[in-house]
Parts: sequence; structure tokens; C-alpha cells
Amino acid sequence: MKVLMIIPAYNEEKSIKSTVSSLKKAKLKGDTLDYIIINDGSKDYTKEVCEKEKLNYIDLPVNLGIGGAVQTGYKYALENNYDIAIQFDGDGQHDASYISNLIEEIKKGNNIVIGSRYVSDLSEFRSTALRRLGSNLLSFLIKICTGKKIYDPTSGFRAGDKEIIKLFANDYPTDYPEPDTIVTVIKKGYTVSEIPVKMQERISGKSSLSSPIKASFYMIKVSIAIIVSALSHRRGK
Amino acid sequence: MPNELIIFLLVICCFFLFNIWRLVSKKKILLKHAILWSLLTIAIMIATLTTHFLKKISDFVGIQEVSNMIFLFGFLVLLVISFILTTTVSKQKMTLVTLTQELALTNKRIKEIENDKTSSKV
Repeated sequence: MKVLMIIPAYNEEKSIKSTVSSLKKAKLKGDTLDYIIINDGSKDYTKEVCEKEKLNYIDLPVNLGIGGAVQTGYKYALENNYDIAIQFDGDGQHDASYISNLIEEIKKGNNIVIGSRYVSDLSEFRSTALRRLGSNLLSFLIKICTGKKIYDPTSGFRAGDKEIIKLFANDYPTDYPEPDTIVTVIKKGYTVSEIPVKMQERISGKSSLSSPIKASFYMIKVSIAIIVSALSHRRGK
Repeated sequence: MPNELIIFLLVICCFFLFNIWRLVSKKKILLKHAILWSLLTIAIMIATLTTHFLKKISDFVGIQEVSNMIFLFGFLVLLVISFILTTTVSKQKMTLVTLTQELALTNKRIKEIENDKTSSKV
């Protein structure tokens, strides 16, 4: 199968090259692995680094935010007829050795597979108590709205099959899209699966949710987004 | 209302109307937005000229002072207009996202084609 790694990058000049070379750690059986970097209007030298290192990248002329960037990747995957698309952060947080596990889960017939930090004790991802609380709250909200327990709704390490590629290429939320899209996907009747992954500390850069005020706003926005998605989609594809 | 004030208000309205249509002819604002603002301005002009009629309306609606009624209506009209603007902005944001993505994808494809050309040169 043709697998595409979608790597959104905003101001990742320091980590983008090592992120791409870390993909070599993925041990695949008979699948071809490609990647595409989406440079989301970075203000630093991300574009120049991509150009110099001859990385495969798409350059968004203005900053669209994570949702718009990732969707560009899905559009590229659709255009180039990929079977599986995997989102992979450009900041080095995700571990490429789990890519084959994600692909295996897709091959079992799941439409979307989430690489989860909390699904088992495997990952000793050092997350703050507050972050964990937020994640649990969203998890609980998704459980109420869809009846399905998702342990790590904010994980950006996810694989989708052809149908998901098509769905996301056509419609993808702009702001903080991870939990929102999970609800949409479950409501539309696709199967979602979670597998445990280890996540690393980011190599450089800062979390977008560093201040408590931003984190609170994030929680409110995402909660509303989840409820709206839950109400606006009926079951069945 | 004193005549001076009426004349003053009418002059302002005329100036505003003139300005709207000047911008339309310069293609700085869209016709449909110009129509909205023109209608509003004309409504204000009519209200200025028929204050006794306004008094009747406010008595009918049950508002004691004409000025209160005008403030209420003005406030409501502004709310509606800013809501219309919000929907316009949202729609434009979505359009912009799609356009940006398509532009980036097209650029990528052009680059690939150009690279193919240069590499196939003998």
C-alpha cells in the first residue's frame, strides 16, 4: 500500500530535518512510505531548510493554522492516490517506530487509528496534571456524545484510510481539529481504533497551549466544537 | 426640531449618500452593500423630515420618548449589520483557506513538472 506521512510544520527550522530522517526508523513490510511537509507560512527558515535539504514540501503562502495545513496534506494524498495517510508532527514528538503498528491497525479494517499516549501504561509521556485533566474531560465528553471511549482525543498522531482521506480532503475543521474530527468520524459510522504509542518531549519550540488562559479557551472551544459536531451529523455514512 | 438642525442632518446624509455612490463608481464597495447603506441613509432622512410622524409611532409602540425609540432602532439595525458582516467574514475565511491550499498544491505540481524537465535534459 502507498502510505503518506503528512507533516505540518510551523516554525520548525530546527527540528524538521531530524523529524524527516527519523521516519527511516519505520520498518514496513511491503508498503511504500512517502512524506510531505506542509510549511504553514512559517516565519523562520523552515522553507529554506526544506529547499536546501531537498525535502518534499508544500509551501502555504500564508499561515492557515494546524487544521488548514493538515487538510492540505489530505488533499495532496487524495490527488496522488495514497491508500493511507498518517499525520505526524514536525516538532519531533512522535515516534516513527510506531508507524507500522498504525498501518497494521488500518489493514485490520479500521478507518482511522489514533496513536494514543494514555491507552496503556506503555507511554510514560510526562504530561502535566492539568493537561491530563483536560484530556480526560474531552474523553468524557466524546463518550457522552458518541458512546465510544477515546483515551487520547488530542493526539496528532493518527492514520486514516482512503475513505478518511477523501472525507478530510473535502471537509476539515480549521482550529484545533483533533477531537472535533474524531466525533465527526464516529458519528458518520466509521470505525476508530486506538493503539498505545510513546511520545517524546518536543525537540524545540513551545506548546501552543503554554498559558492557562489559552488552555482554558482551548477547552471551551473544543468542547463546543465536539457538541456541534455531535449534533450536526447523523449516524451512517 | 429646529430648522437649522434639520438642514444640518440632511446635509450630512446627502454627503454620506454621495460618498457611498462615489465609492461604488470607483469600485471600492460592492453594489449590494451600497444599497443597504443607502436605504438606511434615506430612512434617516425621512425620519428627520417627519418628526411628528415619529412621535406617533413611538406612542403607538409604547415608548415615551422619540429619542429612545430612535436609539433602540439604531442599535438593532447596527446589530443586524454587524451580524451580516460576521457571516461574510466567516465565508471569506473559508474561501481563503481553500484558495491558499489550492495555490500551494498547484505550485507544488508546477515545481514537480519543472524538475522533471530539467532532469530529463540530455
